[in-house]
Amino acid sequence: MYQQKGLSSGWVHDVVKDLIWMSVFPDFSCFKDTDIVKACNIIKEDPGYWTKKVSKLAQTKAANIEMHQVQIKDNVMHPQKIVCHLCACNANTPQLHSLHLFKHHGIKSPYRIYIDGVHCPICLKMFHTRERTVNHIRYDSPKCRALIIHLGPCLTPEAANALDAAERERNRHFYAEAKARSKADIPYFRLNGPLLNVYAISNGSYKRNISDVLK
Amino acid sequence: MKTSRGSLAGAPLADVVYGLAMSRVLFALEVAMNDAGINANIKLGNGDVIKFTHSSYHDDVMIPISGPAERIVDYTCKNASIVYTVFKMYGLTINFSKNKTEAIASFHGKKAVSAKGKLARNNMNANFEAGNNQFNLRFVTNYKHVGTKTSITCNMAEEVVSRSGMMKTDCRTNFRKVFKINGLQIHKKLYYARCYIMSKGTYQCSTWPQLNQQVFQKFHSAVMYVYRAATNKFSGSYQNKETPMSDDDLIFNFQLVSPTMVLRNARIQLFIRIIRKMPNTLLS
Repeated sequence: MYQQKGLSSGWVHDVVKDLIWMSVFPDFSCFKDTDIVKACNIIKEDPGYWTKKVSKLAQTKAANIEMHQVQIKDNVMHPQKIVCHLCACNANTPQLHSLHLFKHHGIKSPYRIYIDGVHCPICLKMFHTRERTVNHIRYDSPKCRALIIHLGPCLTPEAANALDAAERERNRHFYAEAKARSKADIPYFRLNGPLLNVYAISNGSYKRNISDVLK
Repeated sequence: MKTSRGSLAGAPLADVVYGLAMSRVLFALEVAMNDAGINANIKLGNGDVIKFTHSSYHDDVMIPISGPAERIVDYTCKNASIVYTVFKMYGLTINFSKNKTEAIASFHGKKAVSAKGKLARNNMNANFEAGNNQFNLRFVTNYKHVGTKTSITCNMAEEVVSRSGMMKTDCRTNFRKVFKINGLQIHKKLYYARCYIMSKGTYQCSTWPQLNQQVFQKFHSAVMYVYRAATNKFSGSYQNKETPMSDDDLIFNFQLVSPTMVLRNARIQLFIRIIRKMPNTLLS
């Protein structure tokens, strides 16, 4: 009934969804199979009564069952445990595995040795910080990741650690402000070309220009 | 306290007098903007034109501007110059410092990417001249007004994320001291946590639209972090042979208000308040 009014998104849509959800409870059964105008008229008769009723409902155990709204993605995607290749320790998620590698063996992300600046050398996007550039390679762009691995590392692990140490103070400052270390104050933009010429394998054949590969 | 001019701050007449005085300034501003050819008209496919004008709330004014992507920054600077001049005529000075007068730009259509890049290369700043003075107008992604961050997309993600971060930080620094007191009963700790979540943690959450999964997860984890700090049910703090509690178990056992219900309750309460205040003719 509520959907007939063309409310497909926005705040009112959420209120309507809440009213539908509330109508399951016996005290709010009058909101079942009615439209938004009728619901408004019902509330208009005695708003104070409904305010108290809703407040009381919010305190009940039945209303606070979450019904697993927050999906645990990692467990769905990685049902099997990840085993550490150094100490055979198990981890439930890739994030825990990475944490274990760093805490117990001092191994950091392998992508850090591929980035020495603040822009991606493949797509020429300027990210202003090395942290954001590494994140771009690690998570955002599979194409850039594949091609930068093809180019090879540009830093030694010691040099990468030194660059990490240089950013430590800034990260500490962000942590104190409860911000992510990849916090973006300025959006990225693309630097002027030309794009880097590299050999890359695409569909089994060599291509000369990277722009052909990115298409 | 006697007054000879104007009205006292907070007096019932103050808002009315201020509104009347300000309307004259805003009318002059609108005329000046029309003369300069700056507007926010949107032409629809059937030829109709929708005209957007400024929106003001007490001493705050929001001025929409539309135009080609490559010229929108110039238009905004030109408009800032006009605003400065018009307000100066009435003895008012615009404050162009951080978090005071700022612009939010959204680029679409032809040359949108290059215009965005050009602005980013200038560190999201644009300079303009007004009254023989040089000013700097900051372009930001969100603007904080009456305690809430608003962005052009209106999805409130930044507001929710910053509130979630605030809850976690406050919990780490201040509340852990309170929650660590052994003599304090657990229901009093939970009362304290709930008060914090309902006040500072979810300030103006009744106006939040439906959150996407990523943002909701952040909000959920922040609220649960506060609850876990209050009940001392962190993963590392369980005693021997004690079964770790999931979020659902924690909410159920301690009879807490779940993060979803916090938002839902606030939203319905606001809805009831709107119905109470609105005129009867709207429902007919």
